[in-house]
Amino acid sequence: MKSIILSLSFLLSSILVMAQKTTVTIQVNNIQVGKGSVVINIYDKEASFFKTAFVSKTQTADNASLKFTFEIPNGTYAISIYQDIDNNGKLNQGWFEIPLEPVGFGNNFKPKFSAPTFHNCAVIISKSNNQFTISLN
Amino acid sequence: MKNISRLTSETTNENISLLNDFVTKWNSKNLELFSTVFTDDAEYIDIVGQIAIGKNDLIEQHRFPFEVVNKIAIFSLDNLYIRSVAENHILVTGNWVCENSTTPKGDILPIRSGVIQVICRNENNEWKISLVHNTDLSQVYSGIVNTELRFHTTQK
Repeated sequence: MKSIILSLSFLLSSILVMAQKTTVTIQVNNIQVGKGSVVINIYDKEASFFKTAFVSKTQTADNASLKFTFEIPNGTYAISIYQDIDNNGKLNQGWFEIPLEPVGFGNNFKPKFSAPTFHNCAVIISKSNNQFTISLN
Repeated sequence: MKNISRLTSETTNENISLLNDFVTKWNSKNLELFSTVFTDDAEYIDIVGQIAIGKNDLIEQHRFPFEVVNKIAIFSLDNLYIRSVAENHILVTGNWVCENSTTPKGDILPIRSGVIQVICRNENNEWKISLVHNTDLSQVYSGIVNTELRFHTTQK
């Protein structure tokens, strides 16, 4: 009985740790001031990468550097940012699907000849790792 | 291929053969096979200005076009101007036409055409392509690519 209680309490505490939310700050640099808005998409699953964001935020591009704050559970997330210069609600891409608007990714990953993967842009978010600076290119 | 050449017929024919091989292997869409017409240190500047340096880069550069927008495309090359630029280095300028390119979603684009410049290098009595600078004059797609990403390819 004692061991069952111990196991349950361990399981409960594990669930609580996993569900702990961390305040994450993402500073976006190299923004073209006065041109549209800056959109951050954070993805929690590889399967939903570039499809359905776990959480998104948008700010008007009124400063060369903007800070975004999120409250999200600890874990691994991929970060994708773009400046929506024409405010059409999407990242414009050319024929080879090369972005036509400034983009930035977690780890400041720079794609080469192909779109980045979830793992390229993935960062581990925890109480001790919750500040990120990403430059748009 | 129709051509104007300032070289001997032997060198002209060897380089036309190489360019025929380039066209055949482009149309195969087999990346490994396509890469065999290039020198190991070849550079390829594509129609949107992406710079590939070396065979591995060149393969990655062509992966998306060969697997998506040029998957069913047919490429042809003609009207070659062939001249020497240095010892064992030949410059070939040609007109290309590409039919059946598509949008990334699969819609067929109008016939594309452009001018390609190719430097061929002779190593151990074999001609291979060491530099390509391609252009597309058809304007069937629009937009200026993100130049920072374009130049990222050179940051080694």
